[in-house]
Amino acid sequence: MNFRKPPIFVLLSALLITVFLAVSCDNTLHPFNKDKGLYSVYGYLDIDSDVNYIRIKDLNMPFVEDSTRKIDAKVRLTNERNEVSQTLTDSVVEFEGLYTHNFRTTLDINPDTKYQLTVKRSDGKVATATATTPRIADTNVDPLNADCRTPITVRFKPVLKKADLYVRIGFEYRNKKYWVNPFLQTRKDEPELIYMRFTPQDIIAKIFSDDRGRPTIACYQLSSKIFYVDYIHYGPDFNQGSSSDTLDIPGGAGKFGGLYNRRFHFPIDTTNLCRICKSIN
Amino acid sequence: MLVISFNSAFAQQDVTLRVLVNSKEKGTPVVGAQVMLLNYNAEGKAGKIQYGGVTNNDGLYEFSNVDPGHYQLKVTFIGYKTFTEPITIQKGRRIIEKVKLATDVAQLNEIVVQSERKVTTGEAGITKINSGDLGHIPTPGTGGDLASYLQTLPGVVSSGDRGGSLHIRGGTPTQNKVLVDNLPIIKPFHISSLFSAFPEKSIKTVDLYAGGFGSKYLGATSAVIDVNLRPGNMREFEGSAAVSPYMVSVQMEGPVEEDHQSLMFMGRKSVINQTAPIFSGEQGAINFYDATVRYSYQGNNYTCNVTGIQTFDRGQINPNRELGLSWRNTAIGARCLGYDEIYKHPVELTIGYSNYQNGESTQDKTERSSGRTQVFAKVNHKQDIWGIPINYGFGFNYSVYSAVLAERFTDLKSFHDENPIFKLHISSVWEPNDYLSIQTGLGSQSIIQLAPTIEPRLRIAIRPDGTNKQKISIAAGRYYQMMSGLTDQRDAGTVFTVFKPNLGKANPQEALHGILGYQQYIGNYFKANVEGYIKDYKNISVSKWTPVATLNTKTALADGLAYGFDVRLEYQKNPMYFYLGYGWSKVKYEASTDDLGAWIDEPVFSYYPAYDQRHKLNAVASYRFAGFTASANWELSSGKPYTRIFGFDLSLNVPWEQPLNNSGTAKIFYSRPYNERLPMYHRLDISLERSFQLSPQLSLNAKVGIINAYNRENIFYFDVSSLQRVNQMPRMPYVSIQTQFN
Repeated sequence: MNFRKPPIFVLLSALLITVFLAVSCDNTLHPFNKDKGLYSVYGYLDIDSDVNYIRIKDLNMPFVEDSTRKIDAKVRLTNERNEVSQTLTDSVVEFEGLYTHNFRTTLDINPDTKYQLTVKRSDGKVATATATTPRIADTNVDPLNADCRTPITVRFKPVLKKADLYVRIGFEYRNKKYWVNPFLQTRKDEPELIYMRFTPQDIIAKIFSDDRGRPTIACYQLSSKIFYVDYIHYGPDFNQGSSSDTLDIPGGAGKFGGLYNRRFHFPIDTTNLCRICKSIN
Repeated sequence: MLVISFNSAFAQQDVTLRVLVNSKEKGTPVVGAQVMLLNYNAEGKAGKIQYGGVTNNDGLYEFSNVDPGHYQLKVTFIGYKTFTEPITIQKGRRIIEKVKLATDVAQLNEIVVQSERKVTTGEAGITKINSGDLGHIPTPGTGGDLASYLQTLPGVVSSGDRGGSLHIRGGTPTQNKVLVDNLPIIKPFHISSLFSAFPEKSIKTVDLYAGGFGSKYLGATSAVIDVNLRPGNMREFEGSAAVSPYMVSVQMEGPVEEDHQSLMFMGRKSVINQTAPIFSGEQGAINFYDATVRYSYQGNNYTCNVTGIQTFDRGQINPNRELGLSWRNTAIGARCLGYDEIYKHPVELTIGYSNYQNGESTQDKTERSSGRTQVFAKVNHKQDIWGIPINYGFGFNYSVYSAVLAERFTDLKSFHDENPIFKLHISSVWEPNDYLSIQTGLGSQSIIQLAPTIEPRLRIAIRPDGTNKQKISIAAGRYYQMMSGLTDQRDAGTVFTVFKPNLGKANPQEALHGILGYQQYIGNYFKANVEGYIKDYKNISVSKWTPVATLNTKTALADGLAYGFDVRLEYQKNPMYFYLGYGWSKVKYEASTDDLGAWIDEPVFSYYPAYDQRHKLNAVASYRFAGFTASANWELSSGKPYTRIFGFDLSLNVPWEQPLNNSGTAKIFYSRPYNERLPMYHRLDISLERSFQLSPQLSLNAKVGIINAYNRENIFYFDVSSLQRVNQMPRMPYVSIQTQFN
């Protein structure tokens, strides 16, 4: 193969042109993708509350005092069943120089109802989030006044799935309440039933037990004959993060849903079952 | 042009002639000298070249299987007077011939690109570097530096002007191996990426293998940088001291025993912390030093070099962010080459110790550290089997890995592991004629927990016209490494790396290389080289991702594919030198989305990592006039990938955290990973220097220059934690002075 020597001035000219073009190139950086995120939405609609607050954050505003002082957002909540809607008002709360915007609603929150929250920016862009409130579940405890070793079943129905229910059982010992998360179960023949089955002794042993798991206090030593059940019944979409396509973030920049939070109690028989034991402690 | 050729593939005469070529003035080896045996014609004058070759890094060339008879031994090298003497080769004898070459000043003015060590490429994947090559690149210190030079090569990507991380053809820094006279050094590049532990004055030769390296090099999956330091002057004392805004340096060397022993010391210390506010208006925030001591012994039948080296770096990549980084190398080793007549072939022995530690500290004063300590020994030798010369070697490396970790690498607990590795390699070169040369090799590494690796290597050179004016070269091979280096690649503001051995629980990192190159000389002064390559990486450890910018991360495994091509043009005719290099490359990683933690829908996520630089163009020029040397280096490269942010959130753990009572947790959300490109990078560095002979023993070298002459605001990265754009070095003028005595 034979090659002619490439003229140096041709190479140098090409290089100079390249230099000129390079020097005139744009050097700005656009690290923020402003078109992708609008707002984050955090909050819940409590069926039992007259007033609910929903935190709205403009995702394009960094954590700088001045940029968080105001928010360009018009927030509206709509009951999709009866189409009643309300414009929410902003309650600004400051935390160490950062301003948060918590929008207040007094709209009636009904069970088994879908609500849509829209957050609109002044340029017309809208973020939406939806929340579906749960149906009110009936509860049942059987038997009442069971002794320390008698299994008790607590039922919740209708509840769509275990993840929609958060339950804790409490008792009092030495005038202090202790809480335990029980194991929830379902039945194939009753799909909307969630129940838990336990003895009072099992619950006590989750807090007070020895190395072998045996309870170290007995029912008769409790401060009260009452066992408490705290539960939160979430709406079907609560644990799926934000339901708004506009935010488009798996796992959510936001969490918005419906729920109610209630408590009931039931009595147990605290008779000392161990006649010969004065105190296990 | 001289071509090496063996007389026959089968041993017939078992005659060996070893020629050791040294400089007459300094007593040190001359590398790349042409050594030839010419026959005598009927008139008794030297005739054709019968055998020939080029001296290696020890200044040694060995003729094997030479027909007995009378020859003229001829040794030539640019800048030296030609040496000739008659020599008689007798059957069954091994001869050691020592040659001293005298400098020829007149020839120094006619350096041609075709001289042996000036062949910067030609073999696939290899760039051969002389100390003189480094001097072409403007560097804000006296003389050149290997780090600045390497960054002018296509396929070599720096993460920025701070951090000292070099990516070579798609590989990460921990996939590269750096050797200093066979001594492994983990990270000899300083926190200012302009400098390394290897200034121009310390180097004899450097071989950069950007891929396709032979079986002699085991334990790296991307590239090898093989640095050979020069020995100290064996005849005269000489030294120098230099000062510049970046650093101060001192160098001293001289004979301990004339022609037999020498000692050399080189030390440099940065002063940029104090001078940066004056010269560039910015805070320096970096501090580094390096020191090299070298003892050389030249016996009658063997040479030994003992090298000690220490480097230290500390500083911040982003001066506005409270993240301190540091790393330190301490290494000492001895390399001996025995070429006595009792050996059928020279024997090389290397032993040594090398320690590397790096650390990171953050605002909350959390300290993280990781390191690797190695003790090693290796032997290289050569044997003739059925008349075929076989190079072989075996080695043992005992490494201790330790790390104290918190937060950033939450998948890794602090650990202390030990990993002995046994290595074996063999290779052979077959050259049936002037047109073809085939080198085959096989390497193997073995740890207790895994089966030995099998690493075949192949290198082929084809000379279409039987000369070195044109060459087609091919290189291929399989490569393994028994160690991983983990860095949080999402954060360009840190180079802290956790070193972890492969203890058999997972497959080792692996790569397949393929390179095809073509080289053409045009006249005596111009050379062109084109090379295409592909590297297929497997089992690379990468940081797991979260959609939220947080320090917490785990590690995942990815596969990578790097491919591209380089074009290099080089012109050298006194007084001008000009080089143009262009590289196009693509680096793509792939990992299971579930494993990687990426927040996209596809099951397998492909992305371009942060060092995927699509285009890179370098132009280097230097010109000598009226005793001055003017140099310029201009680089233009396309922007590297980064991940944009799309949201600043204060997240609440609903329903446990109430909007009115809790501020929430501040979070920054990433957009699709590495989906955007930083702006283009370009920078011009210029310098002008001159030497003044103050007296026969004393000279002064003065250099003025500017780094980033037109003050381009090149982005380094966008710091998510501080939401700041971090730029690379602004315009930095400098003046450096060096005095030299001998």
